[in-house]
Amino acid sequence: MKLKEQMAEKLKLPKDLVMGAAVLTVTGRSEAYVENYRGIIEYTEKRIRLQTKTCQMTLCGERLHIDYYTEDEMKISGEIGEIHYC
Amino acid sequence: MLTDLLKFLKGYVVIRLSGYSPERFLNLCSHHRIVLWGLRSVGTEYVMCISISGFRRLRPLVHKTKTKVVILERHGLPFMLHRYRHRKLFAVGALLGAALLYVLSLFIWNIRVEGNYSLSDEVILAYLESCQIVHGMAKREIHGEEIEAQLREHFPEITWTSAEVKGTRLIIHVQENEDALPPQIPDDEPADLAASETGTIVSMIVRSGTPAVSEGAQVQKGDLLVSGQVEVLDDAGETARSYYVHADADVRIRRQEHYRESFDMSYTKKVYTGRTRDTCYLVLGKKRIDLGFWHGASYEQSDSIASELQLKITENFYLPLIVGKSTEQEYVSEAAVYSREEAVAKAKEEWAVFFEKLRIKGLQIIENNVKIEINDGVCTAEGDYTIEQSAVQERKPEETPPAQTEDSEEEREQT
Repeated sequence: MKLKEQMAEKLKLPKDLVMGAAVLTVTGRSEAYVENYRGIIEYTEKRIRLQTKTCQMTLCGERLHIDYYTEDEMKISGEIGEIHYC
Repeated sequence: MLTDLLKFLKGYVVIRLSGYSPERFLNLCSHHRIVLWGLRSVGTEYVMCISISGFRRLRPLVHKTKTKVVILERHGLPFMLHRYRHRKLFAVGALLGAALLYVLSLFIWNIRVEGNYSLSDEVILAYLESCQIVHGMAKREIHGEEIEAQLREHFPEITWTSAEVKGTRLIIHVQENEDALPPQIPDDEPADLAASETGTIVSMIVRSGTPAVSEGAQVQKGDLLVSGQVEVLDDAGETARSYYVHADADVRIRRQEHYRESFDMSYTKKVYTGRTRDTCYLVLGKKRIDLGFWHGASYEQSDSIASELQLKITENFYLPLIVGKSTEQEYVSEAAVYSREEAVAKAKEEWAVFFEKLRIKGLQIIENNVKIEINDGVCTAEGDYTIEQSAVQERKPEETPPAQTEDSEEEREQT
């Protein structure tokens, strides 16, 4: 794992490609794009838990809503309160 | 916007998902590349949108995850077509409408003339009609160049034309020669100047040519003013030689004219009763259809004012349908007599209009002795007026000028 990371660093390759890291783009607190995720573990109005290659990602908030949802990208809207990894 | 259109064309359904493991169902969907959007969690259930093709592939996934799917709404064109599948006439009507629009677009429904000043639209349209260029003709029968040539030939005032077909509209652009003069003689050919009016010459500035008359002379219309023949005198004062030039001069001629206009002091006056009535009508091609359902007696005497609007789809796609509204105003004729002041004002107005017309033509009014008199119930404005104007007319010299050759030049030098 370390080696791969170092190689990516040296060769200046995008990490999301090499290591399969999830990419999260948040606009203000109302919109979030997630790329490179594996699947949804939990989805309620208040909590969205996603599985990525290395860890789980949880978005908590109010009125969370999945605008669209494909194999490699999803858009979440609503009032995002916190984002944490575990 | 585009995705919305695609969604509409392909059709989609709103489904409600409930059951033991909805998240697993969602993951399976993305794994099978079934696109879901508008995902909402409602209590323990989920509501989402899915395309029709996606929905058809859903059965094994539902079975595997032991969930339940209920269709809530159906959207899009495939469902609309299904819903209206028995309304065949509706489809036929839509097709016929499109066909009708296409057929209508093959004809000219509006002819417009632009750029004309002295020729009225009616005159040009009447001539076009005599050339079989009419409203309602097929567009492919229009040959722009032919129309242009015909117009130029028939109206010498028109110096340039262009026929343009735009939509269902034929636009004729016209450029007129502002003062339609008789055919001009080219500048490099010899020409004489003659008087175009009868009168007294008040000023004369000759730029080239030999003056035939002097200032203060009385001339008749057609008299020679400036000759194009220039004589070269020898030492003895005799004509050694003559040559011709294109005469050029400003000559102003003053003349006196008589003005007389009269009218009766008694006249019939229109007294409007205040009763009006509106009617609407349609003009379809050449047929007029009245839409008013008026059953009262028609007015004995009335003025009517009509305004018309031709329907069009785009700026240039005119349809052969005109909607019009006419307002009739009833009046009663009454005999009336002008008062002295009214009569004088009317006469003055008439004569002001007359002199204004002269002024526009380029005539300068020098003196005006018109007087207004009222006798035996007739108002007469009468008097002489003097006007001044530039009055020259080019014409070909009566004698054909001898050909100017190099020889004659040499001969003269030898003598």
